[in-house]
Amino acid sequence: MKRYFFYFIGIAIVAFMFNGCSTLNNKGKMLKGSGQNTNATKVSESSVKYPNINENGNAQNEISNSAQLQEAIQSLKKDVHFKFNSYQIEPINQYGINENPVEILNSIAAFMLKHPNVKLRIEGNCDERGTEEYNLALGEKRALAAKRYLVAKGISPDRIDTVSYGESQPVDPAHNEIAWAKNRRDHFVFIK
Amino acid sequence: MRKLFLVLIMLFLISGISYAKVFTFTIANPNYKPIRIGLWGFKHTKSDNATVSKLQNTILKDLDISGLFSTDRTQHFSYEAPSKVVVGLGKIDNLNYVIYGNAFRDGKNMYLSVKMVDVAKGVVFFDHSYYSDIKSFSWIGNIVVDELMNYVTGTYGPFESKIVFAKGRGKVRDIYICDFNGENIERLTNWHTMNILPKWIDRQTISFLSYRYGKPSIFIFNLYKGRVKRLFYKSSLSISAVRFGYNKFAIPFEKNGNVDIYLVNSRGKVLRNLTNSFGIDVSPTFTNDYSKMIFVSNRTGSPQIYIKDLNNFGTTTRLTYNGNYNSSPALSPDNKKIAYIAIDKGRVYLRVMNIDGSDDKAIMTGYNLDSPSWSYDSRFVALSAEINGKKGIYIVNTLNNHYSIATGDNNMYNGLSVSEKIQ
Repeated sequence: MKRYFFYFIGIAIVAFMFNGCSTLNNKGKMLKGSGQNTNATKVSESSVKYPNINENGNAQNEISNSAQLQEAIQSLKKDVHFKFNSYQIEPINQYGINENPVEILNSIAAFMLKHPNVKLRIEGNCDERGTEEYNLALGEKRALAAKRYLVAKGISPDRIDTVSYGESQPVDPAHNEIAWAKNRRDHFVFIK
Repeated sequence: MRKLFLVLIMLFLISGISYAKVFTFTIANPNYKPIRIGLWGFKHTKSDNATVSKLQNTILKDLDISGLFSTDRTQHFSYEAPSKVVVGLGKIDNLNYVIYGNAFRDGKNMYLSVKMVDVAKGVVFFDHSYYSDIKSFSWIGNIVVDELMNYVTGTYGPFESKIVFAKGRGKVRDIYICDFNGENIERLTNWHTMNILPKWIDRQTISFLSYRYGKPSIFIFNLYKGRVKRLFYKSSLSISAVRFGYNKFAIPFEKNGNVDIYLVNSRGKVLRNLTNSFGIDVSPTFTNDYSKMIFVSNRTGSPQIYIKDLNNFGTTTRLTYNGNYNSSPALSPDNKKIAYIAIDKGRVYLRVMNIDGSDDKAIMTGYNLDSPSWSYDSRFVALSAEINGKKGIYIVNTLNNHYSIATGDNNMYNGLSVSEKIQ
């Protein structure tokens, strides 16, 4: 009985190997041409199947349902800006941006302390210059810089989430310093 | 006295030889003339004209993208035409090489018989027949041009490969695939979310970054089997996955406030740090033996390119010193050259240097260049770029700086990867 079992396993492995080979090695070898098409090389580039992945993504609950809370959130500034290739929280006065991000972060911290059920997602963004992989990391560092400041102000880190969008979500799609300055930002999304 | 005289003459001759000017042939020479190719086929009475036209267009596009050739289509010869006649007319038309032959449809298959002649030598150097299904027929054009490049340059051409890239708008971007010359675009993902930065892991598999579950995480997608797997999601940010040996990956991700490069196995388990610095370390690429890693770090204040010896106590050496922004390094498959993106005084450049940082030179400039990726022959680079308002995938011949757009699309997103040679 045991011997039959091993025979069965052996046959199954051989069958599997042949099956696998027929899928991967169906290109045929290049033959010396003679004008006789019976000896022609089979070219089957399209054997790559490229099946589509087709599923729906998730949406997140971002909006509070309390009108009062909504009003309070509306009154907050929801972006802080950065200098080119920087993730320092520092005053900025260039290319139409004149702000002290510390003041904005302080108001957000005060709001978060007053509303302990509200959570925050900080979205780090970059301008379009530079390479995408580096910009994703730069966006993350910008979001983390703001998170670190808010945590230092007493907000629980569990209430703050960060995500980097790199250069993919510009608020101004123009290709100039004014637009780039607007796009180098942390955007704050309040979530109940 | 006579002997002394002979010795003096010999010395004079030897010194003359040693001071002789060395002439080198370079195709970057402005006086260089493109190699003239006659594309003198492939009509046939039974041919499927649309399919044959597509094959011819593939050959023409490949020849153009190569940056080596100009084409002549004034004649037509069938496969049976005597090569002496073709050579004779090729000489009259000042051609260097002629491609001709037959193409026709038989049932569900297309057939191609093709010859290539060297006009100067008067010989047929390529004579083959192929058949394929109708959809794949134009792919044979890539093989023909690669064979021609092999004969002319001594190195097989780059066109039997695929490029994966991303395109879309806002928070919906998908992964696409096309031929190296930009033809035959097909969509791979349809997730209604942001999917970017595709990279070839091996001949069958790509990795990409997806916001499918909110946080960006790394997915692996086997194109042949249609299998998708979430490889890594244990960080608020993971960026890309590059193969590191068998079933292991180098993944830059955020941990403790820094973005470092880690070694991760195929089950997503972190094995060890490959970098450990305060700040940002991204874009790893490895030598074929995985003994050296080239990557980007801002450890000295601005993004620069470094090389780390993974065997020799992890010695790290900075490679770039010009400008304040050097990023997105790509190591050529022959492990000799690094292509990268530099920003200097507001201008963006594709630059190429040797693996030790020497012989650093600008290859092209444009707007928003990103993600250079080498062809398998280590001569061409594909990259995302916007040049003269045209956004798309550009192919650059790094030997003569010729570039052309493979496919253009305003919704193209930065980040692409070129496959190995498709077998």
